Amino acid sequence: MTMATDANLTWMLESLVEQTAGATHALVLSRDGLKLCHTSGMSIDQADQLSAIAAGVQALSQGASVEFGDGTGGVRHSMTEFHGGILFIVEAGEGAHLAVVAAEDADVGLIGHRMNELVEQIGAFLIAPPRQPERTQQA
Amino acid sequence: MPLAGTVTEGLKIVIVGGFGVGKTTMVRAVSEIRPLSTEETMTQAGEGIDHPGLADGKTTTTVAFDFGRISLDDQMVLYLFGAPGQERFWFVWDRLFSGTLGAVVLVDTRRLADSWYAIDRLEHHRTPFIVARNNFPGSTHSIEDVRDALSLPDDVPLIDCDARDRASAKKVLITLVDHLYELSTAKEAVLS
Repeated sequence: MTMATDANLTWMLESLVEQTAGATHALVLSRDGLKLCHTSGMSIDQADQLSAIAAGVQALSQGASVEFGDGTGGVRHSMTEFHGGILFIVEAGEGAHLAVVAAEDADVGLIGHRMNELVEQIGAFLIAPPRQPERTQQA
Repeated sequence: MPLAGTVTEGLKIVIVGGFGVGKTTMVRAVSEIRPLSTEETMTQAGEGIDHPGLADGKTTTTVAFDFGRISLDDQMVLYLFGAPGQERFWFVWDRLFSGTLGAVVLVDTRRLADSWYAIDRLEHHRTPFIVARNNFPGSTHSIEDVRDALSLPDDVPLIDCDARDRASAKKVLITLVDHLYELSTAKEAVLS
């Protein structure tokens, strides 16, 4: 199975950022915190960092959903406002999340809408399938 | 189990150690509340990055932290935070360590080097800790070999455990609490 790291997906992320006022970076990550593809304005190190951060945020949000949600499961999206920016994370395809970093004054509704739109269009390609368990190495 | 009204002392404890050593398992085994777990399925994106090695059949990994609670007696309750094992989540550690009274370093003797980072960070933060060897099948080293290999000072308790077993995991926590108590009484003796 191939990983969703195609140039086409990166292009879709680039156009999301270009066409959405206030959006600065977009990244697709696996649920276990590794980058799959991201926009070019972001360094590799930043992409690695954001992947780990976003996976952690989503996992903790899942905990909130389990404890305080209605039991139908799942996290719709997480949003973090910090000084100088906003981070949005939504579930993408199986095993993956889409994260967008935006300027502090960005239109939150618009960015959320664009992210959901992208996931609807190409969510099936934004995936990170489970690993096959490794065979024992013991002699 | 609701928290008893008689509790007078809450201690924050962290459980640290390398990837796949049994930290999440230990929090789950001892917690009296539904543990908060941030385990995620290991994806193909991690191939070549996350090496379960000898942790056979490991399919999930902690991406933030585990949380659980255990009352040791009527007065004392431990709040347990299990740290994530992989390097990309180490940025969570320093925050987890704040306000921590003591730590358990869980080790797997087949991959002792994985615990060096944990011990190093704890020493840096001056957080008292004990070391618990999770007895995976096939561990042949004696407990004293482990002490030598980790260059552990004699005053750091080192014990064997089975992280899956509630009684065994609880014994580890009691050993830590006893150690913390000894350290604090020793400090008081010096001060008085």
